[in-house]
Amino acid sequence: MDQELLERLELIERMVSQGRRTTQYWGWSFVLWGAGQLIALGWSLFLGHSEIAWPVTMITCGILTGIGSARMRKQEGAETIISRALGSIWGSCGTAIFFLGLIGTSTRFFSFRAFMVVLFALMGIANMSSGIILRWRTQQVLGAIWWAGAIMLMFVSDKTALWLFIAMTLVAELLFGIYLMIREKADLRHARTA
Amino acid sequence: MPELPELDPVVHGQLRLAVLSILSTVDTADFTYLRDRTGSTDGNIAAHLLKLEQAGYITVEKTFLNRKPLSIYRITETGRTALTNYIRNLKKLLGREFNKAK
Repeated sequence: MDQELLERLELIERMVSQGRRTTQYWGWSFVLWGAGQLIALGWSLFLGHSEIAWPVTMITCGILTGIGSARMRKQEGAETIISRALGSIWGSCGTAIFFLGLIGTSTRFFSFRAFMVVLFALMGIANMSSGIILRWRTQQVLGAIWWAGAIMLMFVSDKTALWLFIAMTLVAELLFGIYLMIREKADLRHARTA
Repeated sequence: MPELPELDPVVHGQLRLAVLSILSTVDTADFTYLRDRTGSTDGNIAAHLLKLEQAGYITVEKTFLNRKPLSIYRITETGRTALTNYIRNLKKLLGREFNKAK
């Protein structure tokens, strides 16, 4: 009798752990947007036509993100409050960045540098909020770094600002995304053998 | 002599217990998700989901996704209470068994 009861308790623990395990992994989206921004910057600087470089790359990244997240939602099969909260934070910040960038810079309402301050601030909000929800110190620190970058942008020269943007994109998006993908792959391997 | 707590027979079924445990951690889950996570078959899990629905422990919303039928399950407050009571009684029984063994 006690063996059967113990097995029931173990079953509960195993299933609760299954329910909490997610197949939604977002490292790829950091890599995608980081690469997209660097491509847009390179296109603007070396090939000109910045008025199409940014809209084309950002819209492409947006479409690919939409396709990727729809596929993940379909595969996942379960929705949690946390996944909804994270989705709403990143969706809202991403939408704000997109429209402010597209309309704000094309109408020259604000300069590219002023837009970078807004971008850094919003990335800080998204990363910090996600880090707090997930209780993940690394992402909270990343959020603080984005905010520090936003403040620095207000005091440095245009050239330094550009290098700061490249550095943040490389480290806080591209490299962070690769790091996440490696972690997520390890998680998935553990989930499969558990 | 204190009475032995009873285990809810609806919750006690292995597959039903697995389903309720998973649903207690998510907002909603679809049929395929529950089937895959519990390692069950379509027919087997369908029968147990129906039993849980009839007991009022879960609700099901039937919809369509890309023209394919999709069933979305959610635990009810009654179901959550039943699971909580089941776990409490299970622990009491296990505690009693442990004391007996001593």
